[in-house]
Amino acid sequence: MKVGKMRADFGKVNTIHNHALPWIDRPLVTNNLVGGEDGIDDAGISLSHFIPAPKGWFMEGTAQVYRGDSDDLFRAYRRQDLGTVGHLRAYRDLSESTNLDLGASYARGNSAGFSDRRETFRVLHQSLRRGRHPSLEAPTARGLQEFPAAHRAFLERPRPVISLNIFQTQHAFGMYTSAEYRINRRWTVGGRFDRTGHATAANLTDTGLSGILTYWPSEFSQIRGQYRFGHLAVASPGDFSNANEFLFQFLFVMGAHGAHPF
Amino acid sequence: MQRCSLTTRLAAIFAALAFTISLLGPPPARAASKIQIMTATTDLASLAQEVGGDKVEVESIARGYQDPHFVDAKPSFLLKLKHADLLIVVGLELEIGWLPPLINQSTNPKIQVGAPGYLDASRFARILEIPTGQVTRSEGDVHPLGNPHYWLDPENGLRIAKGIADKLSEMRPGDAAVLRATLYRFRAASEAGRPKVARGDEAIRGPENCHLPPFLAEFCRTLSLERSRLR
Repeated sequence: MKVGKMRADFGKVNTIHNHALPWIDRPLVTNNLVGGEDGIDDAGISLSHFIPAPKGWFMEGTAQVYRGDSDDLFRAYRRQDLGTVGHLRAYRDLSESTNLDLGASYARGNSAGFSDRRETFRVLHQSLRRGRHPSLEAPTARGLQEFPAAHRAFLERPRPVISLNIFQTQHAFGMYTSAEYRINRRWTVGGRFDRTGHATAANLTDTGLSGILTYWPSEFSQIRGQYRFGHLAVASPGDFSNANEFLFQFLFVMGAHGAHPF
Repeated sequence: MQRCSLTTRLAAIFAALAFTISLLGPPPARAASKIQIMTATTDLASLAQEVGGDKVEVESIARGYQDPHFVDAKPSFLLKLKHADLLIVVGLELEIGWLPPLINQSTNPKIQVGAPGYLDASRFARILEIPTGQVTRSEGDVHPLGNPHYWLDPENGLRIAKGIADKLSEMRPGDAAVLRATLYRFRAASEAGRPKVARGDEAIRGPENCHLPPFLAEFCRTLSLERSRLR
């Protein structure tokens, strides 16, 4: 059980801090539909429970209740406008160095834009990590030698909108898929594909493509560059602008750091 | 009154089913008569297996090829820790980056820090390079409680083995005599291996200043080598 302000256990990346992500930025779907960098981040109570499962599967159910204020996602106009999050996770080691992680999350809270409307988020995520048997000379910042690793998530956000003075619900969908491959002890290459609707206009769709190169000079530092191409919807369907961006990140470690969520 | 949507109902039914299964499900199969031991490293696992013999089942979290400073806290470890009777750690903050959350999330009261099933092996070892005075990050990667690679000293290995045997005897008083006998055999076998180390010592002793990384302090001390630190 946890109590306090925390990042909600919603999806795969919401609980992960920026420096621990396999990319410099967050996926477009996170920015468009789940509040950007902060995501669902609120004060509340979280209960997790192991669920017995056969054949070496690890299953965990998490239920969380929040105050209901999370940036521009949820807003509590009244004391009873609580936010709720549920997460079911299934994990299994396929071998000593390969594992499969599946999950489904559900979040519900009072709409930040409409005081009498509730909003619901649903996400499915899946990731597969395949490790290569590391040699003794491979001490890097990450203990498990992540070679091919793939993450994928699909998110749906039905949202109330006002159209001709009548409340309607629009369903915005988003997804990303990414993969990374560790070439040797110091270099990793990766890529990510994003496609997502807008929260306020589900018929507007953004598409993104990223290439990521990571270098570890030592176990205490990390240098990462990311090229990001965005095909971004502007104001109306069929109206797009292209964005070419280069992101750079330098991380260094000072002192012991607690384990990141796996 | 607002009607619940189908998805909300399905989610509620699914959650209720999962909770019910978690309450009704049988515990995982295990060898009831054996003490389930988890260790942080394979070195400790080897010592526990030598001492415990057929009275214990031992598994290590970190593998021998992994750097024990950096181990991913995989959920599968939680399952193993949840059913452990005894957790043996290196201590001195060697596993500080990954083990504490595993212990907490395992929800196993027996192996929480300070509980009877939590055994810090550094308590039994002679520790080198304990910093004196103020320790700061300007000195680089310093272990403020001393060099945690103490198991590389065979004498410390024997001390740890005795500590494990004492703990197992405390947990299973009925097996105390068997454990004492196993420890005696292990100690005798270790003593018998000493001449080999001595021959290696003669071969290695050549250079007076041995350029080895800091974590080999115990190794150098055992072989009477003078070590130059590599930074």
